[in-house]
Amino acid sequence: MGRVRKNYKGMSDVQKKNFVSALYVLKNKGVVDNFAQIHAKWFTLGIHRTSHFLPWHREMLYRFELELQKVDSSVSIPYWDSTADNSPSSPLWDKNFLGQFNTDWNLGRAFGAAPGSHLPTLQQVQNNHQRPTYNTFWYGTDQQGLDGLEVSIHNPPHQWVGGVMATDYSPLDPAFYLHHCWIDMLWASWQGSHGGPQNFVASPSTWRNWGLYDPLLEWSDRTPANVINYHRDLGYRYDIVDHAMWAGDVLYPSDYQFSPSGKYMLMFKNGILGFQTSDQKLLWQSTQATTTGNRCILESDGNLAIYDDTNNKKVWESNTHNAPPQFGLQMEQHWEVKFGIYGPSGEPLKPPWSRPPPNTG
Amino acid sequence: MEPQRQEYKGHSIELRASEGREEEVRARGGREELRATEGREEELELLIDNQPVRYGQLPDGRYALEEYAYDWQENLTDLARRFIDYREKAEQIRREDESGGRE
Repeated sequence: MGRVRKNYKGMSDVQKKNFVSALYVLKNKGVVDNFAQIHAKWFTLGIHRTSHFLPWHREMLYRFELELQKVDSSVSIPYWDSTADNSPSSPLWDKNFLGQFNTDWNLGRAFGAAPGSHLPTLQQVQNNHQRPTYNTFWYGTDQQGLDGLEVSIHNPPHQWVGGVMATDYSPLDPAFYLHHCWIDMLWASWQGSHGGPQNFVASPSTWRNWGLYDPLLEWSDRTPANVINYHRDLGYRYDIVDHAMWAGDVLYPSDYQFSPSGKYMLMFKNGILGFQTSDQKLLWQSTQATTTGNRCILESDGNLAIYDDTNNKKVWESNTHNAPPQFGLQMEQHWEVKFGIYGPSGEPLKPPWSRPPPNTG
Repeated sequence: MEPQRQEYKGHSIELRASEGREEEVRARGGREELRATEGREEELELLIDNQPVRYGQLPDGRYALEEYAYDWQENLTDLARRFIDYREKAEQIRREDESGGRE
């Protein structure tokens, strides 16, 4: 586990092609239709306008992503940030990406058709992120009378796309998954800065006051408690929310990870792990020579390793072992470079792999 | 209740009392769905141009149409008007896309 969900704009052509191919396989197997049917069945019965809105859709995306990964283990769901990507002429809707599904799957998209149709703005998202409690975050009305995330940020893209995306069968449109991945990322981001994953409360008592340990509709053996810690329990992370690699995290070719300030990034490309500034100035790389590595993993003992899965051979490693619990790979601290693998109190592993970055591994 | 009928942009909108909704829910979802629908208001049937339009009522009391599911309104007739506007605009956009050759 340890998949990175990232903005579709950061996907390589191959990654886009793999994602699209996996979607067609799931459509042919009836999986896409089945998920849409489940969503429609519960649409007004508690998966919207209750505290379970976010955890229910997180569980749904997780289950759908597992289905995608049965087809192609390298695939994860990308997200569509509709505040930045807000035009029908965006690459999102290109024929080689989501555009092809409109005719192939008869989705009837009609961008901007809904009355007062608009997409959320960055300002709305930033204001929503400042809300202090879970309830105010997802549904509450603020002093200006603005709704919370569900109505003001989640609903508009459904309406803006139109067609099937505007119906209760919206998961028939792959745009649903990219949109909800973004919504889930916004929740993940909010969780990270508002008391962590435990910040969850039941719906207001006048509504269905389903709480942390109440069963999710359809999947009654699951509750919000099973999904709120998405990284630990569901094994994925977001490119711009989770700023480090933790034990078990995997980078596949073209995966990247930004540091908290966005000044630095970790990039896995052409079998080489590179640490660089966001404007592409290379600070360190795992090896000079081109390797055939196609999977970079932070192993449970603290060893960072690159594998060539075609022959199950390790092509590079950091040789850091015997890590304490809660260790992780870090890129910066207080806006300055602090690149290496550290324990929970910031102590370097032994032997240290935390000196100022060398030119090569 | 007495049926309510009005015209909007050349379309008729009608609300009338509905029967047999609970039986429909039982047939569709069984006990779990009945738990989720407890305490709901009496259902009304919505017709546009004499054709039934399926809808649901969200836990906060607002309405959503199945074919226009993300515009949540407290008044079902207002929602029907918005749906008519959406449907016409969507048709117009699709026609333009087809004539323009866009996917």
